[in-house]
Amino acid sequence: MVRILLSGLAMAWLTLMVLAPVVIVLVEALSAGVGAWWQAVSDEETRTSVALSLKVAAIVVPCNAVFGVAAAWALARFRFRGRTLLLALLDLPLSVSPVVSGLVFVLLFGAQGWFGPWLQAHNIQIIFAVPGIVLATAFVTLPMVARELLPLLESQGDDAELAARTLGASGWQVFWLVSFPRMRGALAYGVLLCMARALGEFGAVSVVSGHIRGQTDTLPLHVEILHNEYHFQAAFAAASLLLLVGVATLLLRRLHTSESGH
Amino acid sequence: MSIEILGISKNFGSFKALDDVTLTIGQGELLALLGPSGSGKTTLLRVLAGLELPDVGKVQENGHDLTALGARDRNVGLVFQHFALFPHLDVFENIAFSLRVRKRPPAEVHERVEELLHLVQLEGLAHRRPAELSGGQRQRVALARALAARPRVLLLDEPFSALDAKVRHELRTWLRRLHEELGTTTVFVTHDQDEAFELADRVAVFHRGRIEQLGTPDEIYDTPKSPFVLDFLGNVQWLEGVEKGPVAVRHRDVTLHVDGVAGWPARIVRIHRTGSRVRVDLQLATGQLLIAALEPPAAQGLFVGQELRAVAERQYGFGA
Amino acid sequence: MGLLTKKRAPAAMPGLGLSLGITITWLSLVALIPLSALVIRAGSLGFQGWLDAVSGERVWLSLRLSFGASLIAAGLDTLAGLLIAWVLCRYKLPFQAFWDVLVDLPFALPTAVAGIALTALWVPDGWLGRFAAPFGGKIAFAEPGVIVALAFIGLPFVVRTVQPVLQSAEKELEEAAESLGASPVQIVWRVVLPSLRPALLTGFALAFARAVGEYGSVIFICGNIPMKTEITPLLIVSRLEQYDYAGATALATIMLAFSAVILTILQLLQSGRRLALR
Repeated sequence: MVRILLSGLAMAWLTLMVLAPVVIVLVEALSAGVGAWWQAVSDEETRTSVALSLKVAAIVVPCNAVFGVAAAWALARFRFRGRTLLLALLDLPLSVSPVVSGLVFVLLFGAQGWFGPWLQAHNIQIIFAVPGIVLATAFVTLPMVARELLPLLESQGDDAELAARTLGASGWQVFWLVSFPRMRGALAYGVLLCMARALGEFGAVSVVSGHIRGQTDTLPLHVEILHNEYHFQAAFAAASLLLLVGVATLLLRRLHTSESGH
Repeated sequence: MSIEILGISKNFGSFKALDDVTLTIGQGELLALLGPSGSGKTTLLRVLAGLELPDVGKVQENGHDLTALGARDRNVGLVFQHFALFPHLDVFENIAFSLRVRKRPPAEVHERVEELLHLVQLEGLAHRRPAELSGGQRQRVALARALAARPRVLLLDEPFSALDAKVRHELRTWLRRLHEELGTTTVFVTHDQDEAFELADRVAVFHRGRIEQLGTPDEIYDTPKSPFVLDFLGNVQWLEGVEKGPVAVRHRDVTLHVDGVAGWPARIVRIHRTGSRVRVDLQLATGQLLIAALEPPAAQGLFVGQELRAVAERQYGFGA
Repeated sequence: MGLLTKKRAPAAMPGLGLSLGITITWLSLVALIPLSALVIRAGSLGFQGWLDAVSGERVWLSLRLSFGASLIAAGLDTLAGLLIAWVLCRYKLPFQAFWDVLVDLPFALPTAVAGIALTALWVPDGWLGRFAAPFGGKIAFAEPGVIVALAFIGLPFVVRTVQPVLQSAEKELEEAAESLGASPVQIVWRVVLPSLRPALLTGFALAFARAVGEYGSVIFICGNIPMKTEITPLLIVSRLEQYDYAGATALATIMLAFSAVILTILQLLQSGRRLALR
């Protein structure tokens, strides 16, 4: 009796609060038929915004992947002064408001920012341009790969690396022959999370982008523009693409966790 | 007050955990359920505690059926293998738990807990958390907690297995004394024969969900009813071809004779000291190895390579 | 590197210099230098300047809404999250895996998508909004809308911190309580909930922190009515749009300080949990 009541309440909450938003995205996106959906998705401006989002992710994700491996390696394999501080700083980008994440770059590179005058003199555009979007995205996704790798490296311990060392392996050999193969799964998953977040980031990017149609519009920003212009069906069609990315991430996560067994 | 277990069976899927077990536990008795893991002893303990419902059979107290009674209403004191102390409560509140949930007046709770703290010799530690206690101290808290509501029977699941050897021995002696003092009917599960024999009035040896033998430690040690019981008690070996059919010989029953004519011809392969005894490895004429566990005086003068005769003071054949 | 105090044996484990070098360089370029720019910029306002920028009724109302709605949303998440974690761990739901995946959805859904979807649901003639309308309740474009959006994004934080604790909780503790005579309600109240308290607090703090800074999922549903449904991040953006960098910076320092405080609290909770589990 209690079991049925509690299960019902839990399912009701999940249905109304979580499932309904997903369903309404799909319903609204297809409200005028598949043809209209396709038209909205293949629209020139939507296509440029998808291309920009992919381009930003293509720059940001590899950088943060390298950073993630390096940071996880340093933090998991060594004990040094300042390590705790570094760990805390690593979490900061995830807990700061996305609006603040965008703002800091405006303060550095905007027209009134520190480097603003110099950049203007040299005709370099960062804010309201692609470099600003890349920086803001890099900021908000900074620790995502490191966060996946760190617990794995901690739990694996350093026995295998030390063993390889005593067997005469060089530093790079230790990494490529021993460490890298064992972190491949978690690395791939971290990269996936980082990519999904990079494609979907809204707040930080919105602050630095300037919303220049066809130029600094990422896909999430394009959703906002369409929505604000009351093109609801088109907005939901574009949103359905982001929804697919999100759902795909979730399903891959499921596979990843059932594989690694935690 | 005696507890009768009548024809209890319990299956987990296709696994027979208990297979028609019948047993009477006398008032004030200290009974050991002895057996290897998976033999059903812990399941029986959980059935007694009301945590498992048997598929068939009854648990009675003086003819009064308890089977349908849940763990909550059975008033048994159960001590878990890993103690299961409540980590968020201190020692005092852990012990007081069964009284608190029965809504006893605070003064009574206080008095009873103080009494138990004294009994288990933990007076100074009332306000420690379980995490701040040693293994032996946790064990005693668990025991005090189980005793607080004056249970009709005290059940202990592998009570000493989570402790290191020295503490284990101290606690055994202490538990035996405590039992004599309180006289609570007590059942404990163990896979350690020394523990069972040292503590218990009677021992039930479990094998594949059945009671293989029930008796006092002396009865079980001296007249093991089956090869399983004999093997489980350990320090025994089976010999073929020295007598008619296979026979089992305990290491401590072997004596060595330099000049005797009777006995099996043997040659000493190795001599070494194992704690209080001397272990002599012998090669028999049949090629089999025989082990003799001798008192140190009896081993004096023996040397490797010596030819002599080995006599088994007792042999077990089981009419095979 | 003067940073190093202890190395096991010389060069036993390779790569400290390189990995730490990459870490500190990239972290500084992308996060530390920009964040310190914010702090320095705020410092240049002077205390009076800063105070002027963060006082005024509009700021006060936005802060009250941001923190108030976040508190309520995190509270709702804590209740619902506990319930959902309990049901997922202890009962077998039909399509269990489906519900389990669903919990993570707010993590994975880009905030802009969540924003427009929630708005469409809760507008007065939306699927769910129409049930509130007859009672005079307005959800979208009013304060409740803010709470709905914040409760949406915060839910997985609570479920995912409580769930592992519930899963690893020893069944024995509950059995022990039962054999000591506790009723089911007493078991939940005296044994289960106390052991979940640190996880619930952590989940609450995570959901709260996320909610206070949230932007994307709120701006669509809140209707952006200044002094009424304007959350602080939105006020920062609108100040930026009016080139009021000083005002935006001052507000941002409040948000940053809040993040730092929450991170510290979470750190303390974490070490407290480790201590309790020892």
